Amino acid sequence: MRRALKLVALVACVTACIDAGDRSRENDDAPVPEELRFGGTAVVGFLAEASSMNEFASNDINSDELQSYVLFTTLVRYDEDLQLVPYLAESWETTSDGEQRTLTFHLRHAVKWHDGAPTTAYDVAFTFDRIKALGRLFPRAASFSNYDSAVVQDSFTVTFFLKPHPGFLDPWSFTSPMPQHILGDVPLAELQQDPFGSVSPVGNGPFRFVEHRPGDRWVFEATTDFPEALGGRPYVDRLVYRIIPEPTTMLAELMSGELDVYLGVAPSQVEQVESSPTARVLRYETRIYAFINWNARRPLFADPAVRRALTLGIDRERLVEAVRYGMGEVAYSPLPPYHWAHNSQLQPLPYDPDSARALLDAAGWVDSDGDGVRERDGDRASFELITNSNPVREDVLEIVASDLATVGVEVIPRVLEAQTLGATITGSDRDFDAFVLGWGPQFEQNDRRIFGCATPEGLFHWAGYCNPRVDELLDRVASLEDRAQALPLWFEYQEIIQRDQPYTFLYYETRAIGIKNRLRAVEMDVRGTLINVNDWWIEPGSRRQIAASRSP
Amino acid sequence: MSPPILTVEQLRTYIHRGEQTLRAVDGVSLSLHAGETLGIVGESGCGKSLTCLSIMGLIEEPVRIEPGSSIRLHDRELSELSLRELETIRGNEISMIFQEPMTSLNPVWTVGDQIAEPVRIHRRADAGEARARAIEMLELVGFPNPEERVDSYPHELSGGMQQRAMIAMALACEPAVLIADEPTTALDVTIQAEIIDLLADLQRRLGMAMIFVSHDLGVVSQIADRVAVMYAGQVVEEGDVGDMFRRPRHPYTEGLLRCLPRLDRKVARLPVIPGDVPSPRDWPGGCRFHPRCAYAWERCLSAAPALTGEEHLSRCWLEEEPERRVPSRAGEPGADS
Amino acid sequence: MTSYLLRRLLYAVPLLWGILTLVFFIMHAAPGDPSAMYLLNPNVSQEVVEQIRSNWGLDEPLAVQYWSWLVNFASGDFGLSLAQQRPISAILADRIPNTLLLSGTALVLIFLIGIALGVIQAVRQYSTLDNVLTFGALLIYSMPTFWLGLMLILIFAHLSYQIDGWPELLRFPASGTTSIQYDMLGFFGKLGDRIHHLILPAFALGVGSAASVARYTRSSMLEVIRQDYIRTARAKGVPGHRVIMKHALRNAMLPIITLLGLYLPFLLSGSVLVEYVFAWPGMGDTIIKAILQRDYPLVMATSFVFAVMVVIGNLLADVLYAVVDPRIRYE
Repeated sequence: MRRALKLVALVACVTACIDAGDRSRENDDAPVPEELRFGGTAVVGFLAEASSMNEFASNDINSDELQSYVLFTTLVRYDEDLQLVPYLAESWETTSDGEQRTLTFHLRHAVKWHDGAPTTAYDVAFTFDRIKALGRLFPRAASFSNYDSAVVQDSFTVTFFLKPHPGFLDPWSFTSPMPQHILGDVPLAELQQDPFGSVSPVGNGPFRFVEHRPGDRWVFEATTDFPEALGGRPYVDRLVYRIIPEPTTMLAELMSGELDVYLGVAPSQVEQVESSPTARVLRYETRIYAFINWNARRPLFADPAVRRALTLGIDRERLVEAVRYGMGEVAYSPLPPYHWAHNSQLQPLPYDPDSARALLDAAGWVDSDGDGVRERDGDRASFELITNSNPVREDVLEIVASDLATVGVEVIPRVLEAQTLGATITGSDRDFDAFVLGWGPQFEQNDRRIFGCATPEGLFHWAGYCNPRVDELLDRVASLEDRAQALPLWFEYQEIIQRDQPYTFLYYETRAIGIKNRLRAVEMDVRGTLINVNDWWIEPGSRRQIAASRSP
Repeated sequence: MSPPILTVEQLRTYIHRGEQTLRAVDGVSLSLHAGETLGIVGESGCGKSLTCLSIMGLIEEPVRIEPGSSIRLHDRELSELSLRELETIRGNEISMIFQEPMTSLNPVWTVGDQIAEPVRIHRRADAGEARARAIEMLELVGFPNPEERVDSYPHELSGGMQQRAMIAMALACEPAVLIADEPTTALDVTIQAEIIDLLADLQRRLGMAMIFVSHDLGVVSQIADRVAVMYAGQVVEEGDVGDMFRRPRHPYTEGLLRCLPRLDRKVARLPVIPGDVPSPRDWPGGCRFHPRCAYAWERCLSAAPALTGEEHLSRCWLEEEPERRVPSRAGEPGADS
Repeated sequence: MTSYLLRRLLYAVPLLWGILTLVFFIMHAAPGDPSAMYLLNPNVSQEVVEQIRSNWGLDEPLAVQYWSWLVNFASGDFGLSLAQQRPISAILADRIPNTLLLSGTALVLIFLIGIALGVIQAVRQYSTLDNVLTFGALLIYSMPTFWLGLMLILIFAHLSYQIDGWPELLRFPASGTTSIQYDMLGFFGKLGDRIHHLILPAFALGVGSAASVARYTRSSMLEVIRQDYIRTARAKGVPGHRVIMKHALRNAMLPIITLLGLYLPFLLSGSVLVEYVFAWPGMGDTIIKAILQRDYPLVMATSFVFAVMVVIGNLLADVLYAVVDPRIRYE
């Protein structure tokens, strides 16, 4: 945990403390008094559209963030130590009788929907009931698979009945209650397509909805009476979410001042932003790791020693430097450093081409015809490495190919369009050798669907990996609520994965954000990009000359 | 006789093509009096059309009017006018009609608009006045129901009607001079006669002077008062039309006349003048006609004759040595060789 | 004319049907299906993907899917975008105006600039100006639209803000249809803001075609200037500029009008790239995303709109042709 904190501190430019109940927000340089920080428009550029503000329909990360931090309020939130803290729910308590657990949330009383109606326990129960009714049509149905039912105790108290499982509060950190008084009469079959999601959402968060121009922008404005207990009225008057798919265009807009925040600066653009006198770069650790998946169904990749040799044969330090411009750390575990169970006693396998060659020799892969590529029993150590069209990943293919060539393994890089890649690697015939991809799970991870033995195989069993001990470990951690008991199991799991190398983990991704200097107090970390959007403020002298300031 | 309306003196219009100079019009002098019709006759390539275009100022690089040339309309020297000044004269004081009415009319304008345009430009008439004038002109040139036809497009008219429209357009501003460059050549014979009658009639009624160009001496004889015969960029004979037909002076004119079909003489084949029209790139030395001339003798090869005479002029050494009017070559002069 | 146009529209129906059927089967032959947008999402489980497949009818035989699409489509129901979970009619209503605005502006630019340059070149044939313009046109014509768009952004929306003394008029926004302040502007402010945002993308979209229109206009003009009726106009005393603008240009336009119909498909396909680069929320952006996400109903609907636009563009060219050339009559 401490390690996670250290990393957050290391990658963030500013250090500040967000505390939901505390109004006295600190910032990097203090001379601007609190009351002068109100006003102005902050424009955030995203590379992709946020599809919907309808919790029941959206499935993309951008929609999630806008829902959780801008338009709506979640019951609980993660703090910077990744501990769950109250938000819309001011407290909760649980009971357990071994087979069944109850979870009771006490909601704050002062939170109103933007049309004036109070946010109540009925909204929470309504949202839960609809999610269960949608069943598998709800994109994150799995999150609530251990939840059974909800009962409203009074207007601000709701109790859930669930099977005990670790991280049972986690779904409430990314699921925002929806307004029952607006969506309550919508038939279930039409719920996901209701105009509420794109045309007329009504929230209860720090910002209210103003306008959505699909493919162009979402416009929000500050909720002036947002309860102090939840952070109070945001400093900025307006928050505009612009969609700009092309990175070059995005950079130009940041430089010319149309944008205040450019989310996801391409690694190659970081230096340009840094050298600008009017903008700065904020780096933070994400949940994403990049990996190579070896298809163990193929003879070349069936032997863990060979997979290990391939990892040893790739200079991942150099790869991070070359393709990510240093924005990342060499990865070695499916639980990234932020994760409470991350095993930091492990070390990444080094770059050691000699050991790689020795391992390959020992496994019987020898270059007997002198063509530079090893063979065994008539099979050549040659494979196709595929990925989706993405400049960074295309570079990864080239570097992996050149590194492995020096240990006598031939790599044929091939770039596929994303859906084609998805269909290829998830297809039941698993007709591929190896691929490169990025993966960014929620905080509560279920690795069973990736590394578990399964018949029939699930979509994500692309590695074809099976180890009964791993199955056992993953099954046990999935039911252990006590982290202290689960930790050694998680550690062992990571050790086995390290030994067997079903994946070659490439790097944990660090993300760069370009921010105009006039926009202050911006923080981002592994939780996301809008975590303290309430606290953003703009230097009074450099606000856009538009809306009349509506400071309180 | 009153002073001529239009006087052309020593007009030389050369075509400059790289190093080459084509002396297409090479010292033409003409004069045109009020109410008179001057016919210009000659084979293709003799410089008739270029002479007309030079008078109109409708030539462009690499064609140039050479210094020393003079084109005078009344007292104004046209060759010294700026383009803008020239534009106020064209279609206003001098007009011109062309050989192919089909291609000479703008296909995307109604004939009415095309006739009205010079009226609007030169007379500063408004749209209504100009249209009325167009209808009036169409009536004048013999259009049936001109109010309707004024909105016709050229492709909706027959060739004869198109040429009538051209004439209407040329005469809309009542010019003092009309230049008609082979106006009937592209038309059927019956239509030819109608157009010629129309032009003659209009000339009388409007009292204008006209230059009528044709390669056909027969057509010219029907309308012209005087005729200038051109050969190789020069006028070789000029005189009263009747005089010329009765007593041609120049051997070339003789040849042209012999080529005319005549009702009073039956011949198996019409004779033609032997040889080809020479190229302006390289006119023959001496008399330019000598390679094709039945009478030519040494003098004709070495020295160029001048245009001499009073009323009836000819550019031929025979003027000085009439006794030589005896064919020096085998066969009849002009006989098919 | 009206009956001719109606007949042409009628003929377009089987054509559109053929195109859409082709698109339908090509889309379904491509690897992946709409559920694939969930395939690489770590937070969506396999059961969800399977449920979605059956819910969207993707597990039905292709012929059944085709038939149900055809029946719905023929009855005017575009259906629901699978990726956006919105009625397609609403999506089209959002996007079509933007694309029409961009393509329309580009079209006007193409013909205004192209014709103006072509006329200048024809009138000054073989002059230095003519040669410079010929070279420039060739250069621009051979630039890829995507690259040109990026260059325009880098120069006029990026460099221009960094260089002091760069004329304010030549500073443009890099993306979007309006600026952030749009809602606070007055009528003329809004109009100006929209135009300001239109210029770079319309230029990027149109300039290549403008270069080729200039080439065609130049040669067409040179051809027309030699015609007898131009000499006739001069003989009437029509001033030089009027001869060019009134007599020559209209005739020279006849072959150019045909280009109008030909350029429309180019413009629409070009708009896909330009809309991406300039973050212009139009049809191009929608169709490309729909294809990438295998959003079948949206692909069909956007293909339909594009095909209809091309058909209408060609009809428009025919109508214009008849308007400009009185010799042409449609029966």
